[in-house]
Amino acid sequence: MKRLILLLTVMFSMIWSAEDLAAHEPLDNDSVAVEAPREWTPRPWTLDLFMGLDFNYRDIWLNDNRVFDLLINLTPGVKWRLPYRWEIAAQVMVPVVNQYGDYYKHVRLNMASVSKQMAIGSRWKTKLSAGLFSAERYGIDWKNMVIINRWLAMTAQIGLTGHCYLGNGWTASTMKRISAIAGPEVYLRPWDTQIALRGGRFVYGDYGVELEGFRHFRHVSVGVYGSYSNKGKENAGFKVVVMLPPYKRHRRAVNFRPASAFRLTYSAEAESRANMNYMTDPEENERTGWFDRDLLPWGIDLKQPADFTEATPKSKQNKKTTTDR
Amino acid sequence: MTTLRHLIATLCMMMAALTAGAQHFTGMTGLINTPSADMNRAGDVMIGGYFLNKHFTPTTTGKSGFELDGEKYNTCDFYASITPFSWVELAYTFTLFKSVDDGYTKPSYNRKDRYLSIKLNPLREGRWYPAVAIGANDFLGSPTKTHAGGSHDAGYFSNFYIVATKHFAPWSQDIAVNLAYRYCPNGHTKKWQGVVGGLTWRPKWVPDLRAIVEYTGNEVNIGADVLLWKHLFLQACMQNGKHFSGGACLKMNLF
Repeated sequence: MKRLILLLTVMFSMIWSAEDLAAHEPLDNDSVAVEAPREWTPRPWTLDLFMGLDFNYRDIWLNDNRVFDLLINLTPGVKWRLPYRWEIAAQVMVPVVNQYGDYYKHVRLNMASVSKQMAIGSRWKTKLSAGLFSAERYGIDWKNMVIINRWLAMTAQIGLTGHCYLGNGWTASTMKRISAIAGPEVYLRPWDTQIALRGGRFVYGDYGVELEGFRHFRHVSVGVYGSYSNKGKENAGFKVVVMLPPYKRHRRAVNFRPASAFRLTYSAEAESRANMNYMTDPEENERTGWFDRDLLPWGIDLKQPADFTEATPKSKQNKKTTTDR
Repeated sequence: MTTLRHLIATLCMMMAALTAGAQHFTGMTGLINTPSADMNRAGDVMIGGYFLNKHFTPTTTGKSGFELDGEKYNTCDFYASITPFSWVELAYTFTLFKSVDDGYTKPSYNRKDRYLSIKLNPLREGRWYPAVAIGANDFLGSPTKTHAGGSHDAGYFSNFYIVATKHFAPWSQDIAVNLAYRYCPNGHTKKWQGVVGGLTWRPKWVPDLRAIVEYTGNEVNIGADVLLWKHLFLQACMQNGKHFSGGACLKMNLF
């Protein structure tokens, strides 16, 4: 019996040692002793000035002897990060190619919002935003995510908004439309796959549900979705989010850079007002989600390596040593 | 036992010989017009275009479609495809239509047909049995469905298939035998319905080159494709040995 216990103890200790070693041993020799790049995360009192591209095309009518109508806008934007996860953001639309008509021909403010993110306990993260949002909405918005476990979370978004368009003079409606969308989100880590089901009342007052699934790759996420609305009926399509280089970012007080991501949504149906929602941040997308990556990380927040890492200052580059074999 | 193995192997070869290829002009893996059970690697993306000679397009009539004033015309398509997992491929394709818009006198490529494709690979190839895939092109909607905008689906490229592919390596050459059954639910592609299939050969000294011969149900196509510099994929074919079609695409892996 004693021999058996001794044998089991030795075996257990060997397994323990092997696991411990595996946890610390690099996967390939080339990366031995090379310091892993640090994740880039936003810091207070930094100002980001960025430029992106808003690309739209449509084929819903006979388009004057061409296949598609194009609408291409430059989207310069700014983000000013303040302490305690306060943030001020704005974005302007500058039309470059416009085959959509006079409504879109003006340079206009597309977004201007102030937001505050915070964690409540260890499982609830929340974000409150106010100002001018995308989809020509203005008002206040409250986003929430409650983390149930490693693979399941619940999301909820409530908004009180009205119409506001600043392109041609300005038009606005009273801020009295309530939208409320909630549902579960599942993250399957072995496959970096995210599935989200959301339902409720959307921006234009229709009631509906939307199911979408994303596969996350190194810097790209590709997803398909299907939706139903009591006004627009069924719809389906796909979404692509491409995180844009450079993937190494500096930590300066003022940063000039391209937009973080390019986002494409393809909709099989031409009903633009069904299952419609707005965004409160100029760089919001389905890959990065609503919250900072380092705020109660969940789902893709935990995917390694991160999309953006810190650029090594030149002064430190010479000091870095490796023991490549 | 050896006899049994030979029998199974022979059956697999016969099954593979019946396999039909996948439509490469849609961005999906396959042969030229016919599908195969081969799959791209997980994370592979293909973005490209394909020139379709007038014999390559489905049969249509009317103002829209692939006939204009009673005559077929050459066109091209553009596609993007992805393999999110090793067992599924998805593609989106749109094909240009030629028509004369009101107020114009000359025809131009001013409309398009768009469709989605899917291929699932439930059985991977084994030593003694072929890979099996099922798939569909232009499977959403139907000619009878009306969209919210009032338009109708045409289903020009609509077809469903089951395909088996088996690879052999005689003298270190890669030879694949494909056999499929393809069902076309409407008249546009009826000529390509039935048992279809083909053979491919990758020379061992140029493994990125592939020679293809296929039977589509209506004609015999020969062609070749090649992957250059790891990312540029080119394909050319002669339909019935007479009519050229071909395309190019950018291929990359997202991992």
